[in-house]
Amino acid sequence: MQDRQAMMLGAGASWRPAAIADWGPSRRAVLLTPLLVPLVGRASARASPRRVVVAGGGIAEIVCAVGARDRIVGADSTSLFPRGLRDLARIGYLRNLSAEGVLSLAPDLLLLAAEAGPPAVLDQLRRAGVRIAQAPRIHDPASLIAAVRFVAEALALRSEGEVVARAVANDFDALARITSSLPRRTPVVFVLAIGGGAPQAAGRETAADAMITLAAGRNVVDAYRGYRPISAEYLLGAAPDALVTTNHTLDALGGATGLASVPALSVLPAVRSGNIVSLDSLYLLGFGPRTAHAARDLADALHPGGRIPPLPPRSWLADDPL
Amino acid sequence: MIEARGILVRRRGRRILDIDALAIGGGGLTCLVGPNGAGKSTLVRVLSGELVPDRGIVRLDGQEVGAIGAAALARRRAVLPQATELGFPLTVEELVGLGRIPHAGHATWRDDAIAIAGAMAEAGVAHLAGREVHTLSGGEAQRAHLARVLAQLTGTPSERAVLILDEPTSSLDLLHAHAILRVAAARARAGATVIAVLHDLSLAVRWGDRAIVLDAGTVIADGVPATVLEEELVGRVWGLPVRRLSGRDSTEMAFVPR
Amino acid sequence: MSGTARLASAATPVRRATHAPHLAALALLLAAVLVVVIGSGAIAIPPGRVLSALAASTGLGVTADPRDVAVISVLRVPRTLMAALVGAVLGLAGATIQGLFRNPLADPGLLGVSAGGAVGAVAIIVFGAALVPPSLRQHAVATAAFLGALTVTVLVKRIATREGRVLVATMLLAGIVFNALASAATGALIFAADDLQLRDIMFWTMGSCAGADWTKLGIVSFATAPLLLAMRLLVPGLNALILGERQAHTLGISIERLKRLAVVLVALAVGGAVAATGTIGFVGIVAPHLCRLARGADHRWVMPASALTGAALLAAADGAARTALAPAELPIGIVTALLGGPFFLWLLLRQRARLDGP
Repeated sequence: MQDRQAMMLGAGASWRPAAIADWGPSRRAVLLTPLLVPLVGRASARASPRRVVVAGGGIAEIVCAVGARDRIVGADSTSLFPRGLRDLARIGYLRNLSAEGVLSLAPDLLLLAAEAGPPAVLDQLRRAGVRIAQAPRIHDPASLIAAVRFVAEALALRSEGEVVARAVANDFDALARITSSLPRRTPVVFVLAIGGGAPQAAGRETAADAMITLAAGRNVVDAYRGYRPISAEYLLGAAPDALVTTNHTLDALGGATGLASVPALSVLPAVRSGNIVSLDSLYLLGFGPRTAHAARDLADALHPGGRIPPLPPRSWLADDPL
Repeated sequence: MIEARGILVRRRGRRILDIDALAIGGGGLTCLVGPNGAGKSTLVRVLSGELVPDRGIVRLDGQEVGAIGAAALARRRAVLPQATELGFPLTVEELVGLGRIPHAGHATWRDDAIAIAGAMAEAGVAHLAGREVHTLSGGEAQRAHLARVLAQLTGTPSERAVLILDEPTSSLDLLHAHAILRVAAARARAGATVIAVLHDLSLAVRWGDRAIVLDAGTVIADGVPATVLEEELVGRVWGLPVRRLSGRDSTEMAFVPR
Repeated sequence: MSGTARLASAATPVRRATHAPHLAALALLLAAVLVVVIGSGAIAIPPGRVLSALAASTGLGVTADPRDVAVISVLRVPRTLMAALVGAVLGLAGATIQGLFRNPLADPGLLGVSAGGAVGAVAIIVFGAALVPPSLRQHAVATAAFLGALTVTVLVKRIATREGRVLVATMLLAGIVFNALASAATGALIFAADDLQLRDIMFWTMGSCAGADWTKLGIVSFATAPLLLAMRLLVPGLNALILGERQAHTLGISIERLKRLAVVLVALAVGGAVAATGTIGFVGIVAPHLCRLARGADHRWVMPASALTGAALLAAADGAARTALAPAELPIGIVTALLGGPFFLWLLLRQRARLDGP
C-alpha cells in the first residue's frame, strides 16, 4: 500500500519534509522543555485543549474533521473551509501571523501548518507560554495521514483522529486502484495567470504537481521546481491535453473567455477545445482531508469517458449551508 | 531702432526702473553703464522684450515688441548674456547652429550653413568649429556664443537688426573682451542697433559711441562717453571718488580710485 | 558682413549637415534585430517556414503549417512588435525628459509615471476580484495602470505650475514626493496581498511583453503615437533649451508650451507602455545616452535615434528573455537591468578616467 502510494507520487518521493517529527529525540527534548516548564500548571488544559487557534487551511479542515470545530476560537486568513470559519476572529495571514492577535484569544493550543510564520512571531508566542503544535509538512498522502494523527494527538482526540486517518487512507487506496486502471496519464499543465505577463506554470515539487500525479495525469512542465513564468512556445510544444487552474485565477481573468484571450494560452489546442479544468484553490491545493476527493474529481475531469466512480462521502466534505 | 516710453518696473513695491523716454538706433554702439543694482539688466530685458514692464511701451522699428511673433522677433534681435551653462556638450559648430532655430521655415539649409560659417569667421572661432564648447577657455567660449548670436541675426538687414550684449565681457581677459566689442562695434557701424551693458568704463569709452548712465532705475546721463563720463559724475554715481586718466586720444581712458 | 559670407562660401564648400544616413543605419539595425528575434524561439522554425507563416497570416493565400502560424503570428510577432514599440517610446520619452530637465540621468520615472502605474496595477491585482465585474477583468490591470500613471503625472504637473508657468525644479521635487507616496501605497497593497498575488505583483513590476496581442498592440499604439508623431515639434525647443530657459526664450521658443506639451505626451506614451508591459527600467536612460555618445546632443539626431535604439534594445531583450532560460521566461526588467548596470559602470569608469586626467 505504502509502496504503491510512493510509486504514484513519483517526484514527490524525493521530497524531504523538514518536520519536527523527523528530529532526533535530543533536539525534540530541547525544543519541548521550555514549553513544559511554564505549562506545568496547565496540565489539565494540555490534556484537552478547549480554546484552539489554527493557522493553515488544511490543518483547520483536519481539526473540523476530527470533531473539534467548536473549540476553534481563531483562525488565519487561509482557513476558508467550512465557510463558517471565516467568521471567526482573524489572526493574520499564514506566513505573517499577529502575535498580539493570537495572545488576545488566550488559546490553550496553537495548531500550525508547517508553513506558518514568521519564525520571530512563533518564538515570541512560545516564550509567552502559548502551547504550539506545528504539523509536519504535508506534500503527499502519507504525510497527510501523519498530520491527521498529529493534530488528533494535540487535541487529545486520538481515537477520533484514527477514524479519520483510516478513512483518508482508504480513500487514497481506492483512488490508487481507480487510477491504476486508467489507460494513460493525461499530459497536463497547471497555470496561474494574472497580471498580464507570461502565465505561471507549476513545475516539480509543487502541490499542483502532486495532485496531477495523484489524478493519473502527467505534468508536462518538469524542467524546473516551483512556479515560474513559462515560455508560450515551450508549452505549445509540450502539447498538454488539458489545462488545470483554480477558480480564483479563472475569475481574475474574467472566466474561460478571458483565459482564452491570454496569447500564450490561446494557441494551445487544449484551450481552443475548451479542455479547461478549474477547481477551488483550497480544495485542490490545500492538501487537507478532502485531497483524495479533489484528486478524484481532477482525475474524472482529465479522463473523460474513464467512468471514474466517486469516493465514499465523508463528513468533512460538507460545507456550511449559506 | 528701439524706442521705450513711460517704462515702469516695480518689484516688491520698489521702483526698479523708471524711464520716461529712450530711443536707441543703429550706426553706433550704445553702452549702458552704471553701478550694481542700477537696473541695467532689467532695462535690457525690457528692451529685448523678455520682460514686460508694469507700465510703458517698447517699440522695435515702430512695432510694439509684444505684438511681434516670437520667432520673427528672434530673427531681428539677439541677446548675448554674460555666461551660459550648456545642458549637454555641444561642438562650437552645433552651438552656433542653435542661432538658426528662429529661421526654420524662413531659410534653406544652405542659408543656414553659410550663416553659421560666416558667423564663426566673424567672431574668430572658425578654427574651433569641431571643438566641444566646454573644453574652450572662457574667452573662446564667449566668442563662440557671440558667433551664435550673429548667426541668429544673419538674414535680417543690418538696419533692422538689434544686438544686445548683457555684460558680455565681465569675466573675460583683455584680449577676448576687446575682440568681442570690436565685432559688436563693426556691426553697429554697419547699421545695426547694438546695445552693450558694460562694467568696465574704459571699454565703454574705447568702443562706445554713446553712453547711457543708469542709477537707481533712472537715466542720469546720456551722450558721448568721453563727455558724459567725467570724474565728478562717475564719483557721484558709483559712490567712489575717481581720477580720470587719459591716453593718447578721447578713446583711451582709465578710471582709478583717488 | 556680406563680405565675410562670400568669403566663407568661396573658401569652404558648404556641406549639408544631416543625420539621415546614420538614422537609416539605425533603422536597418532595428529591422535586423526584429528579423532575428522573430526567427528564434523555443520551437525551432527554419526561415523559409517563418516567411510562409507570416505570409499566411496576412491572408496572402499562402498555406503554412497552422502551428507555425500560431507561433509566429500569435506568439512571436505581436510581442516583438510590442517590445519594439515600448522600447521606442521609452527611449524617446527618456530623451525628452532629459532634454527638459537638462540632465542626462533624468527619466520619465521622475514625473511619477511608473510609480503611478504600479499603484493602479497592484491595486487591481490585490482587490480586483472584489472591485471589478468578471466581464471587465481581462483588461482591468492595464486600465488601472494607465489611469494611475496619468493621475500621478497630472498631480505632479499641477503642483509644479504657478501662474501658468511650469517650474522644472519644482516638478522634480513633486515627482520625488509622489514617487514616495506611490511607494507607500504599493507597500500597503503588498501587505494586504496573499502569496499568489505577491508573485503576480513581483512579476508585474519586473515587466513582461508576453501578454501582447494584436488588440493590445493597437490600443498601445494609440496612446504612444502622439509622442512619436509630435517628436519633430519638440526638437527645436529642446535644442534651444540646452542654452537654458532664458536664452531659449530669446530664440523665440515658447518654453511653457514646450514643457506642457512634453509632459503630456510623455505621460500618455509612458502610461500606455507601463499599462501594457509593466515597469521596464534602464532603456529610457541607456538609449539616449548611447545616442549622445555616438553623435552628440543635437535633438534632431538624439530624438529619432533614441526611439530606434530603444526599440532595437528592447526587442532584443525580449528575445533574450524568452529564449535564455527556456522553458522559463525571464522577466524583461531583469534583462534590461543586466544591460543597464554594466553600461553605467563603464560610463562611470570612463568619466573617472577623464576627470583624473593629466
